[in-house]
Amino acid sequence: MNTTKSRTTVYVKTGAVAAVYAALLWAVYEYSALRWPGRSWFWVAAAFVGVQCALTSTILVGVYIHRSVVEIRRRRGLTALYFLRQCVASHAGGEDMRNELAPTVKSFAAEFDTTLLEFLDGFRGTERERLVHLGVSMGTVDRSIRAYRSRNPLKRRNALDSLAKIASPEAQHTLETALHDPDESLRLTASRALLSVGGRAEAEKVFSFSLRQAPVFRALVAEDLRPFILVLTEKAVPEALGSGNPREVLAALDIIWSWGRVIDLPEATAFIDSPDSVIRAVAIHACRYAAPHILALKVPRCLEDSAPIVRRAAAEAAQRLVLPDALPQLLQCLSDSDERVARSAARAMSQMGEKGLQLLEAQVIQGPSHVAPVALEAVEKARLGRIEWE
Amino acid sequence: MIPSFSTLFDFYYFLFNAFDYFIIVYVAVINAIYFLMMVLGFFAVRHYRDGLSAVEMRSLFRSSLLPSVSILAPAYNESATIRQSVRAMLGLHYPDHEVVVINDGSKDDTLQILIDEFHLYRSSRQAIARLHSKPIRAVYESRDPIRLVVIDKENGGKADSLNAGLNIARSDLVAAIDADSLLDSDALLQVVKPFLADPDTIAVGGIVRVANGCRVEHGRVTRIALPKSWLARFQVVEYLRAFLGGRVAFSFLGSLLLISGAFGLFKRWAAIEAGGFDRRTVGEDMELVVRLYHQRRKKNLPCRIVFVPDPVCWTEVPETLKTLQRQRNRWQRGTLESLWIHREMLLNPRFGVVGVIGMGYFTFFEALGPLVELLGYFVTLTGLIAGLIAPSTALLFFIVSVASGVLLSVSAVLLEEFTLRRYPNPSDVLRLLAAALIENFGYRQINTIWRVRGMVDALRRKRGWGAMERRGFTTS
Repeated sequence: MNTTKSRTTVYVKTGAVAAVYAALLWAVYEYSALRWPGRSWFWVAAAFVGVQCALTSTILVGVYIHRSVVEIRRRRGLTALYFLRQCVASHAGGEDMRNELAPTVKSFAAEFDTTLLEFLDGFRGTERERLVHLGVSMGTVDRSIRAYRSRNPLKRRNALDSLAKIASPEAQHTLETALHDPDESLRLTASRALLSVGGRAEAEKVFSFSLRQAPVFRALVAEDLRPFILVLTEKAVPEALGSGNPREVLAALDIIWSWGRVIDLPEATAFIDSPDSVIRAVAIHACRYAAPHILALKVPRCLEDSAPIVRRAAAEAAQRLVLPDALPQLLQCLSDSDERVARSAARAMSQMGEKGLQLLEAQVIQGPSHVAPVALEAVEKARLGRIEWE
Repeated sequence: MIPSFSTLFDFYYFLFNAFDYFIIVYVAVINAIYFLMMVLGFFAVRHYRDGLSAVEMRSLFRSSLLPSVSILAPAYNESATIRQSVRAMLGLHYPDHEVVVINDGSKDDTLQILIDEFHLYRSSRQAIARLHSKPIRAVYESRDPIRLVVIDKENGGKADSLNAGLNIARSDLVAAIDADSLLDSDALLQVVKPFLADPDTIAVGGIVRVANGCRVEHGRVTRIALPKSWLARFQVVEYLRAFLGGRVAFSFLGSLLLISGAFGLFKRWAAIEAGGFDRRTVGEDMELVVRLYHQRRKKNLPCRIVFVPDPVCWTEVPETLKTLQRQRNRWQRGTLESLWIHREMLLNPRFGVVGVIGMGYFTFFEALGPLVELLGYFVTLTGLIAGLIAPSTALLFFIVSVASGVLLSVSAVLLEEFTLRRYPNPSDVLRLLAAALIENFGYRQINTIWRVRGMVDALRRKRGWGAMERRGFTTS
């Protein structure tokens, strides 16, 4: 998402280019009109054409020069690549190749960094540590830290990715600073990087941080927080749930739901009675994993909730947890005014074994006209075995 | 001060020149606006950092917070390509999506091919919304573990088919695409992100690129190349200009009026609440977007509609003049119909940037622009022949209209080169630049005539799409 500052920058740059273009046109026109007075409109057109051609040619030439330079650099880099790879591989294997590498790294620093990062992906344990030390001593970390200070957001993002891969203590400070970067995508990169290099403390930091970010941020970070689920449920998650801040509570419940893993967190069930219907609904989804045994007792009541979003969540929970005790309430939900609730209830009933299917089939034959089609669809899908994989 | 005319010739001389100057100023203004849009689009694309990296896409793919998506694909006489298209849609890299193919009364064996290929059975799946559409004969689902729904209905056109699809679809989001369009495998993941980033987002459009000349394997573009025909190359340049310049800029300004019918993603409930796609117009894609703004702004509801340049939809463009003419005629009619239906929004500050900038631009430049330009050619040429217009004025007109057109086209190619760079081959870039130059000498003028004809047909209330010839994609 663009920040306000970023959007302002775009407008300013656009205005600057337009102003320069207009100034060029005016300058050429003034010069032409002075030298050849009369036919002012003609000189306007001539100025227009002249400036356009000049600009277009300059840009075209610039593009091809840039491309050529990039290509020349790439080919030049290729000549050193084989040597760099050999040295890095040998260093990982136990030989100290720093002296051999130092002169080459001076001229081919970018190629060395790329090679090192490629190798880091494939090594673990002692070899990886040796490569990390090599990166530190050859200046890869320093270069990445400097690159993070660039104004080019892509360079900064790549720098954070590099620091994450190297995962040295020297990189930690920069990653923690980047957590507060005004650019959301860089905050995200920093979060993910910290999780890959750090331990418990970093995981708790990132988790707390993500509670105040946009849903897309949480969706991405939640996956990286998975290895730390047990650690987070000891302290960070309960703290978030007990914070009293509805936004943070909702975010925490979202993350628990997205993990989709059974954890012991009975305090999450308190939010099934929240005054906010959205929190109630998300709490039901989350409690399928956080406290399924408590949720099972509350589902029948939730199926009679005043908010359709809650009733729907309860129906889905009944389906996932297979709660035959909720059949009477599910039957009532077939007539729900919200068709999504009715469908969810029908699907849930179809998963309750023959009893649920028989109730549905009775609705197909004898039920009201708005209930029968919903029941029929659920029965059909259950008999064909579609519901399991849909 | 009213000038005095000694002869009738003087009067006509004044009239012709005055009108020609008006047209020159108009064309200069419109091209200046296009240029500004291009520059704004350039900086906006470079500032666009919301595109997902490969690692992030893998993470997002595993997230249960991703909304479900129904892909609505109207199909009419698509027997040649329907198998490949549906398989490609089913194989998109997205964890929770269904494909809803709407067989719009095809006269060939499109439906039978689908039934045989995907082991369809007649299901009891019900419509959950009540948008108007032609009667549905049957709904099919597959016995295989794939999420495919086929709606067989009476012929009613694309908007009608999309409404039938909206009625049957079950997901939070719906993607309206053409049955013969090819999406990049990660397109859905990219296009869904704005909905997660901002809950006020109602619709998102992706970029449409020309598939002619590209190699297609199993419904995916595996090698990008320029088309061989110059007509298709001109359209490549046009699409670059329209998407990278226009759409990016308008999206940045918050006044995007058009999401391409070939690839657009909407919140299902928002589209249904708005009344679905309008069957009266051939520009149903634009009309729905404008209507969403219209209705939601009236109720002071948020309405964020954006364009993202990452997700790509590849589509086949016409390679014959006749088919291209029908398409451009239809686009112009659709634009005028949409603008007329929602004329209350025009320059109305109540509708904010959309009403003032978006509607203003589309009305005074996109809708009326072709007419003014054509008048310009006519007045200039006849005036020149009759001696009513000075040669320098005529030269001025041609320079302002043609030369600035060249600048815009070349800028579009350079914008592509600097930003997304989907044509990495330098010789392709050179060919594109050549096309950008040549299209302004003949192709653009013919287009202008077609668009004016579209205006006339809109005024005559002509309906229908006309037949679209398709050659199919180049396969290995």
